Amino acid sequence: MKIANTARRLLIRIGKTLPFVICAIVFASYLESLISLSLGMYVYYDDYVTLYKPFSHAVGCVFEYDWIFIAVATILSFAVETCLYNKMSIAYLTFNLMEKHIFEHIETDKTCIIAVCCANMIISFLILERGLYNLIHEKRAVINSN
Amino acid sequence: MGITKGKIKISNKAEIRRKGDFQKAPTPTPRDNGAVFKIKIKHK
Repeated sequence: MKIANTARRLLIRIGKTLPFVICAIVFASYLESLISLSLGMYVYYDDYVTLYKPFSHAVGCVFEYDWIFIAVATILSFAVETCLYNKMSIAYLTFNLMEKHIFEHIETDKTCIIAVCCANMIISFLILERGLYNLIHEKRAVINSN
Repeated sequence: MGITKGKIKISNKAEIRRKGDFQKAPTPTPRDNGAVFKIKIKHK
């Protein structure tokens, strides 16, 4: 019974935190894109040239979110009754996934990359900031209740 | 015996030719949580 309660709490914690964590990873990825673009770090693959992002590629080899993650996160967010920002972060991640698929098929120039990176960084940072704010205030509420 | 050797040689050559027909496997795309940008190169 105790394990079941702990597991439930863990599920709620995952449902509330995971989309914000992924937003943080996405934010780091776009930031690294801008850094590598400014430093001129490129890597050549078989048929195209792309930006060299060692940190993001290392993270991507371990974990890369997909449609399954979006589906699970959406179900969890409704099941746990998360806040509006959590649902917004899932919506943003869905949009980002679509964007990823589009950029796989087209070639882009530097100006377009800068614009896309800045836009994505602003949105992901705003969502991330809200997530951190919620986390801090939740901890304060727990401390005050104790 | 000599004929057998010759046959083996021929079959080996044929096998090599078949291997060469295969297209070289492309390098896997880099895995990333953000978008992977394909950069346009200006040819001079």
